[in-house]
Amino acid sequence: MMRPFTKLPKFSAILFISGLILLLSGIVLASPAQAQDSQDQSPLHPVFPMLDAEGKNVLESGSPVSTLKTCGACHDTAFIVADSAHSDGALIAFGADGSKIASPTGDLEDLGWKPGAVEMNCFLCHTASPDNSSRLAAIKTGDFGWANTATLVGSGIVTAAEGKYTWNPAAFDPQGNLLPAFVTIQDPRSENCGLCHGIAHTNPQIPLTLGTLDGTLDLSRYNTLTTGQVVSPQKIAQSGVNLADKNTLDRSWDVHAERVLVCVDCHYSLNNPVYYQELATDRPEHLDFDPRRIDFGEYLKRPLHQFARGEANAATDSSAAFTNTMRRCETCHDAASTHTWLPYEGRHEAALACESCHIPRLYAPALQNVDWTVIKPDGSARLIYRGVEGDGYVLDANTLITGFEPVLLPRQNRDGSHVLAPFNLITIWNWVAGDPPQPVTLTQLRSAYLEGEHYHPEVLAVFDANSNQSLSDQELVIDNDAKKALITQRLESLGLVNPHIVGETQAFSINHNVTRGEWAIKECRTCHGNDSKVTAAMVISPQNPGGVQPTFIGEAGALLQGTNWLNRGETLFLQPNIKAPEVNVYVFGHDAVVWIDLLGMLAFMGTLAGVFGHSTLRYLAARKRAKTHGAQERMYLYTVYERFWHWLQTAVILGLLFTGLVIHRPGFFTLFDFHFIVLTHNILALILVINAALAAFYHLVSGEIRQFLPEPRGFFNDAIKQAKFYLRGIFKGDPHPFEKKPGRKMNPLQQITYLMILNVLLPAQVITGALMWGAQHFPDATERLGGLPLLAPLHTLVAWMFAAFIVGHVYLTTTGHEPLTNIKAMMFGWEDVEKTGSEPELKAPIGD
Amino acid sequence: MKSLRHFKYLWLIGLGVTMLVIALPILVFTRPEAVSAASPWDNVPKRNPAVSHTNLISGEFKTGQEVTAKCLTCHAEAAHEVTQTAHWTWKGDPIFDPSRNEEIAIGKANLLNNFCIGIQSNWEDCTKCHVGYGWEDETFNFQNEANVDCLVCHDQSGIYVKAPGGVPAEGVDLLAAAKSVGIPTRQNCGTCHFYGGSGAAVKHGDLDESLYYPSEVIDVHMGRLDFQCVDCHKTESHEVSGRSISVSIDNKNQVYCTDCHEQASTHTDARISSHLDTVACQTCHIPAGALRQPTKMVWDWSTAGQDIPEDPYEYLKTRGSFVYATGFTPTYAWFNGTAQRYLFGDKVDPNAVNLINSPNGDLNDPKALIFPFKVHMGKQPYDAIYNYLLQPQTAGEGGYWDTFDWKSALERGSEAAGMEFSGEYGFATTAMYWQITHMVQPKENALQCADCHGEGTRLDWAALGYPGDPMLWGGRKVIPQAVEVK
Repeated sequence: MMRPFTKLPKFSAILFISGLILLLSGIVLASPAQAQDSQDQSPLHPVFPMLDAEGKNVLESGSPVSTLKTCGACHDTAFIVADSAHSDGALIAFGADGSKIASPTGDLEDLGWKPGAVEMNCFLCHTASPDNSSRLAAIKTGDFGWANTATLVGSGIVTAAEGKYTWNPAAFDPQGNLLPAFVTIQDPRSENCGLCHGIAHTNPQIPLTLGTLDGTLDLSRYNTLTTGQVVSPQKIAQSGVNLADKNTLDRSWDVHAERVLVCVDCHYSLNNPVYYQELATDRPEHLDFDPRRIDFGEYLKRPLHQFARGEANAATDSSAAFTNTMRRCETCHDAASTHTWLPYEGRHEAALACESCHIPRLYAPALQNVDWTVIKPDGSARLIYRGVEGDGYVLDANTLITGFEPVLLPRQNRDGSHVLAPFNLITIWNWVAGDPPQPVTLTQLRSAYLEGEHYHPEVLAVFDANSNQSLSDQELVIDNDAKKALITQRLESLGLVNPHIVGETQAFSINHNVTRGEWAIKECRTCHGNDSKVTAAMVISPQNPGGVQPTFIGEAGALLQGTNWLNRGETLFLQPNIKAPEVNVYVFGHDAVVWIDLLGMLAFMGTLAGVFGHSTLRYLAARKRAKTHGAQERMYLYTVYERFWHWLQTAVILGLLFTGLVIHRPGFFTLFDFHFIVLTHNILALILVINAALAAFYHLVSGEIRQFLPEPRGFFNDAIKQAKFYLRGIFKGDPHPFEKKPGRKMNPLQQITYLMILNVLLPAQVITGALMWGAQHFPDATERLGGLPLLAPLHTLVAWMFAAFIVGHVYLTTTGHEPLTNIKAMMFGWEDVEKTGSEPELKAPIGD
Repeated sequence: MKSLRHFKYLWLIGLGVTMLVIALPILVFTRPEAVSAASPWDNVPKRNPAVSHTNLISGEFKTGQEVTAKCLTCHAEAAHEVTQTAHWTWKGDPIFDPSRNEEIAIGKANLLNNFCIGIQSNWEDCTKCHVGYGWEDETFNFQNEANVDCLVCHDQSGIYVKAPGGVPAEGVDLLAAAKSVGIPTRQNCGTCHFYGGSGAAVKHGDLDESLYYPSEVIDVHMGRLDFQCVDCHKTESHEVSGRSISVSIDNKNQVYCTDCHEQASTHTDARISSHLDTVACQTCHIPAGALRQPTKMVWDWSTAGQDIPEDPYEYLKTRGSFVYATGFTPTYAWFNGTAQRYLFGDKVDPNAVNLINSPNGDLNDPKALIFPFKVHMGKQPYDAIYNYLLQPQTAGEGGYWDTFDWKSALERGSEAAGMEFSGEYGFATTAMYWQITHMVQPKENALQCADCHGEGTRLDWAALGYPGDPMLWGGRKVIPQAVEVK
């Protein structure tokens, strides 16, 4: 086939093929020919001139664009700026003015910034591909006026070279308006929000990576850094993240992104007529929906740039008034209809945020510690990340990411209720000095540690454990008194008074990276067991710099009071306190009141021991004694119904005790499905109540109730007589003091025992049980009567009493003239009853 | 003792009743959700090992026909059955074509495509893949059952190869091949179907050599579950099920996902289920074509014949210029299971894209579903006076690959095809649709919402006839019928 060839250009072929491909998209699909110059071109937004601060066209003036003037031609930018946490880098909302702004080193220094120096940047959120890095570079160099113009670098409207920006005349029409192809004005996409707030990646075709390809996290992506949250529709297994067991993670990073929601679908403008809806609590009771809203024209003129939001960090809380204005899970989701499999669904919802189960794990690393008590030669703090393999000091392309489980802390909701919700905890240590204590600035810290680019010899001498003239992350920590004393002394020598270390632990709320059913926590024992997730401790730090235990700063609605610090070795943990009065949950299978269990066990064991001793003595006594039988009479003592209800109750009570025990201590019974056991316990309880009610009715109607009522006259004498029999007579082979008769089956001790059981123990158990069940069905009543933390231990105590009773009861049935006589009687109805000499007065036989 | 028996009876009854009173409510209240009884495996044929023919067959075979004769001594009906199938006739049953208002019987034997163009005058080369021996020209006798090739489908030795005209290649040990026979495997089917268009992976875009030993990410049925082709392409009397719109316009005897997978119960998510009336299974479950081997997307015959550097994936003097692609995103179109087909003599417009075939269906067709296709673009000779596509003789003596003279090649081809050739020719642009239906992915790799909905996605809603993304604008307003197309 190969022939000598001459060099002929293949242009024609290439041209033809590209033509074909165009035709393919154009004709084959028979799409209406819509020549679109740019995919990002705005379908609606009119063309407009770019104006500078003077209102002149930037093409003429060459000045930086003024967003407030340019966009302000149609939109009320004064209104937008005045009421937005996003204006001016959110600094105005903090009440900042130029004089108070500290430089990144912590020193007070005038960088030339003053309010308004950087106008609110419309382009950053409202254009398709804003250039945030050019914008940030302009701000960093103090080029505030050009920062917004820099955002457009890459759009073709403006070019940048050596810090100079040149407007491109080719992007404008003769009237000075932007050409339609350059008008890429749009609703903010998730990527726009992600530029500052965290990693948002919406293209399912391109594998997601964390930050840059070399693996370093982009520190400006705040929410990913602080919480490990990543917004992407991509399945984690198909992302480019170096994640442990990645191929098993066929869940998406965020189910809402997967379902094509974007940030502004939930975090919408608060006067957007499409989205805005008053909270139910703010609406008149008779209204589900208020149809009166501003029209679109008004909205487009003055769109409120306060966005619906959840709880946020108080330290950066610039718009507290708008806290929790957002649609929450339950606004869109009907949990009740999808959680029918979950027993006590309402109770779970009352105690847990949806996120607690639906964000079981974060698959990106997040900050754990920021240790500013030391400084690295490049001027950075010693950082520790969680969710990575190893000690968390390094985060680069080679770091295997493991992800981490958030800690559950009580979160205060807008309505004042508290639920357990997931958080990340970040702990920061730094030096303070003076009175009142002020943070030591970076410049001072640098002077204390460094000499130029290197550590000061004095510092090296104390810190450099392996004497290699450099400090590793393990060495660069104030973990002994010598190090602390040295740095204290070096800071003092800078003129600082009383320098000392303080630490703060801050909670960061986790609400994104939601997953749906199959990946959510569904296994009951995750929480209902000894190693319950609700009290799972989170690592705070591998060691406390300077031995200083951090203090909590309550954030994002998180309640930390009463939370336990745990020191395991050097490592400091935090264990949530679910007994804080605001939450005070009782988690079955995890929580138990120790003294109740001890008391109950004592009663149970005591009875067992008593029975054992008594039976041993009986046995020994009987061996010495000749078997004598008194006169006997065969009697029909128990009707079929009496026997039925008795044995049904027996089976049900044994079942209740067993299932109750499994619920109480699921760790010992891992064989059993917790969910099934809970349901079974409730069903058994229902049977017990019905059976007891029917039996009570029977006894009342038939008059058999009298069997249970002690004869007041001579009761104590009789009772003592019976007691004496059990204590003495029984060993001697004495006959029972009271003869069993159909009309009187019970001796006085039985009567008083049953009276107690039926009037005290049983009602107590039924009522506490019903109220515990009511935590789902009538939570208010349950709450008023003490709630689960009171009811559950009480229920446990009574259960122990029942268990003890059963031991005694069964044993005493063996005190008939043959050990099995009584049991057989309860089975078959007939009993051979001893005729005794001392026969008390009989009641009239009743019924049957 | 009577009372003892009475006792026992009572005791058991009592126990039974008590247990029943407890167990019944527990069973009723804790009963797990009813699980769908239908299992896809119910419809997968149980494969029994084939009878070893090693000791059943002896003798010496000089020709393929001798082997066939041996087979027929036991399987008397087999050859006759094969001659009734499209694998033999290369032509389907006559079927009414509504767009022409007449019955047509079409198949490889009498059609043009935009790959090697057509069989007329090129029989010898094309029939290497015919399930018979000796189809070298128009005189081939389709009634002669002795020429049926049993081995190409049943050989399990792996040494059986066919030469031009479909006869066994020289040196093939026919005895060994005959002794090895068994149920057709992926290797047997792949021998022809993985090489359509005269090269590996050229034609289909969803069938190539990677399916010989596929991993589950190539094809979940073959890779994870070790399916053979014939597990889905169920075969009765040598009639293999399955249709492609490259050679047929109807969907009789088609293979469907729903042959095994129950449509109603397969997806538990209501949002996914709501797609089933408009989206074919393949659309989500085969996100891309040509996963490993590149497939041909464009074939331009007009550049052939130049002595310029060759590269089998870009340019060959004999064939012209190509564009290949791997992992291409399919083209999505409405498809109701039937198709249009270009026939000899149909007019072409040299200034437009002429469809060799195209799926029937549109937004308003209740039977139509959105279906993935590979669209193969071609530029191929047509008669500049009569305005229809021409059949060139490419292979063999006097063919284009011999002479590099289009005119004589087209004359010879037209004569064989029985078409008038004016002597003036040009090259017309053509497009051909190929269903993407193999290389089904594990469910973890199926398309997700954001792949089609939202911004800048793979689906061109306007082209499909929607006013906009149906997630926002609502779905089509037709009453769907329970159908599935393939």
